[in-house]
Amino acid sequence: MTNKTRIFKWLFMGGLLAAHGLPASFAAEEGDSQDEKWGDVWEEEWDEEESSNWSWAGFVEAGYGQRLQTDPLFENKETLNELRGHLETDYKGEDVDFSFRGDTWYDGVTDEMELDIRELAWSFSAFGNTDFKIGRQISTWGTGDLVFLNDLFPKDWQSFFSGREDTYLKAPANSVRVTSYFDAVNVDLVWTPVFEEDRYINGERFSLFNPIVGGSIGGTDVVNPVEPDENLGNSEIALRLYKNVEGTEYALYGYRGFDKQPVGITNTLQPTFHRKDIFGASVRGSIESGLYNVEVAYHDAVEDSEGSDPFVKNSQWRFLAGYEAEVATRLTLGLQYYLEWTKDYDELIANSPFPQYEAEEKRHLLTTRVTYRTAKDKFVWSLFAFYSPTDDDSYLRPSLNYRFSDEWLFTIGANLFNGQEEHTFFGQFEDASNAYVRVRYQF
Amino acid sequence: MKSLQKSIKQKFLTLLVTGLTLPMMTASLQAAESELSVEEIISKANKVSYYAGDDGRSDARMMIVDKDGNRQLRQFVILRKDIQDEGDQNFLVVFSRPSDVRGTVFLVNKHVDRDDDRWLYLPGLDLEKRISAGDKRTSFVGSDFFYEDVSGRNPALDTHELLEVTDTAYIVKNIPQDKSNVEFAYYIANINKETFLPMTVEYFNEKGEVYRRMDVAEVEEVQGIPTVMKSKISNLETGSVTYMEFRRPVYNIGVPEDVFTSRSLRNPPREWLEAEQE
Repeated sequence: MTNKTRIFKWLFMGGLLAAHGLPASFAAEEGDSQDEKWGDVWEEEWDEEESSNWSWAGFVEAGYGQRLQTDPLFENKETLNELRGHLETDYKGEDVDFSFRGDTWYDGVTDEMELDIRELAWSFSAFGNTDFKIGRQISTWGTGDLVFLNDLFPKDWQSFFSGREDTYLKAPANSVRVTSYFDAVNVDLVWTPVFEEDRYINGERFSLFNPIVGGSIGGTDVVNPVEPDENLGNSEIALRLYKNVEGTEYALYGYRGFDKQPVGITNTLQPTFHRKDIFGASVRGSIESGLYNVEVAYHDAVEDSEGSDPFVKNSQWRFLAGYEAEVATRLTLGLQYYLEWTKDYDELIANSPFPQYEAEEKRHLLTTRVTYRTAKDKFVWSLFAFYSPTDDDSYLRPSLNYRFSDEWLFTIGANLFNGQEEHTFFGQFEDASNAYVRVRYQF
Repeated sequence: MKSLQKSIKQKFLTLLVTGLTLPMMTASLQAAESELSVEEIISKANKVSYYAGDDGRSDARMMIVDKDGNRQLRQFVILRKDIQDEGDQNFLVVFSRPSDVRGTVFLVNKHVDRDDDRWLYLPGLDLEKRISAGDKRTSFVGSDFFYEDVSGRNPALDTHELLEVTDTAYIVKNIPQDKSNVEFAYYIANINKETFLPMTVEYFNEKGEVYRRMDVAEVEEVQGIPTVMKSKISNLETGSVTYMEFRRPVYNIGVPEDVFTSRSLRNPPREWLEAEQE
């Protein structure tokens, strides 16, 4: 541990945790004279995290990004301009663990101080085979790479589009997660009592297409949806049954809740989240020294079983097939094919006030991920590309990560949207195309 | 934890008892040594390097030093259980440092007759990431060690040739059967005659030059089992060296097989990962 990190650590410990009566011997040093045989390589003591019940880490990060073109709805070209602090701390108790992950940052794009608690949870095990995690937390499942069929946990598309670390694509929710492990099958249940929506594109950072206007809207938060009432009947329940058989992972999924984005419209013509049930399944395994994944999901529009209500998004079948392999030393290639098949499509078109803006019955999407790591992962080059032949639009995410040291990490990258038409899934964000840079100091 | 202590004590007792009969066995072994075939030597080396005891745990850390002297540190706990000696086995690696890999868990279900199943759990995303089996000779968390150096290379992937028997070592040349997925033309292992631990391994390129080298710096007897405590891998092309050190290793702790499943990704089993505090 360098002196600098130690000072950082103590500053944080003193400032944030003194009130909790943390023992001063937390970072007890231990000499190891045998190490001298090896020169001074091991002059540092072992990090005795396990000797204390508390452990913690964090980082400070500066990020800047801006549009590569102008968006007439925004005077400011900045899409990312922030100084962020992230702190994580864990307490390992005799029976119960406590974990905290939090971010605070100054957002120069919106000129606001922000605080986001990503995790504040208690974990414990019971009955020998069941793990509980209660509190604010991030949940993920499914086999897709940046494509989600059965994972209806909240996502932060604003962070994703503006060049924050990929981790921030997942947003937290206040949930109870219960995972039971049986010989026959593992059962994973996530109950979110109060509906937690995505942090979707709402016009504040990036504009979006609006069919009523027939063009882009934005410049400020222009989506003010009607949210589901906060009652137990409106809670979200996500269930997964899964099992690993000789290295092949099988899973069944169920979800009862709502659209995560306000794609529906109320009778008073306001955007809203409609009820949604999902049933799905996935298989993941290895073949020819690569990995394949297949996933399917049926998204049931509970409030519009006929597909004729223009205010409710129709039911859909979703299908995904993917393959990933190392094609050359340290060069990994991943390919995915994804299909959204809208049910009752004729009904949809017949009743839609804007049939010209509806996606095709079968929306095809191809993705590719190319990752090249230099020796020892010093540089990681990555390109993720979405391309839809039916929408004729694309989204490219090139990035370069440079690990200068254990403390200093650098990232540059871009989010490049392209489309022939203003209303398609990625095409509507053409004016959001941006490039960004991030510098992180971690401790 | 009490039951763990008890079982360790029991194991120590068994070891003490078997230890009494060891000198006789060693004597008869020495007589047979010269008659060992190269396959037997490689099999023993594989066994003592990667299959010591039925299971084991150890603290580990790596110091990665580049040619300019810049250093990086990785600290983790490694837990292993053998299904069968020289056969299938399981690994669980839980990282604690540096902070960007803190809480990351690496799970390997290693198979001899098919590709290994490997997962990486990324806690920030709550993501159980499956890793393809192909990329075994790539950097293990940014170090000069490869994944294959940590979990072992299947001896059946190479043909073996005994080059020389010295007073202290067997010198064995290993040639890959399939050159397409390895970066070496061959490697030469210097295997200690007493312990069967490979003490140095040199990797050669097509031109016959050494470009990569593994050295064992320190071996200790742990519960009667010769155990590598310090080793290093030098990349002679880049001038980079990674030092690996183990601490508080213990064998035959009785870790159950179901510890090596997806449950341990989200909820690493502290009962088995934490060392007994001295």
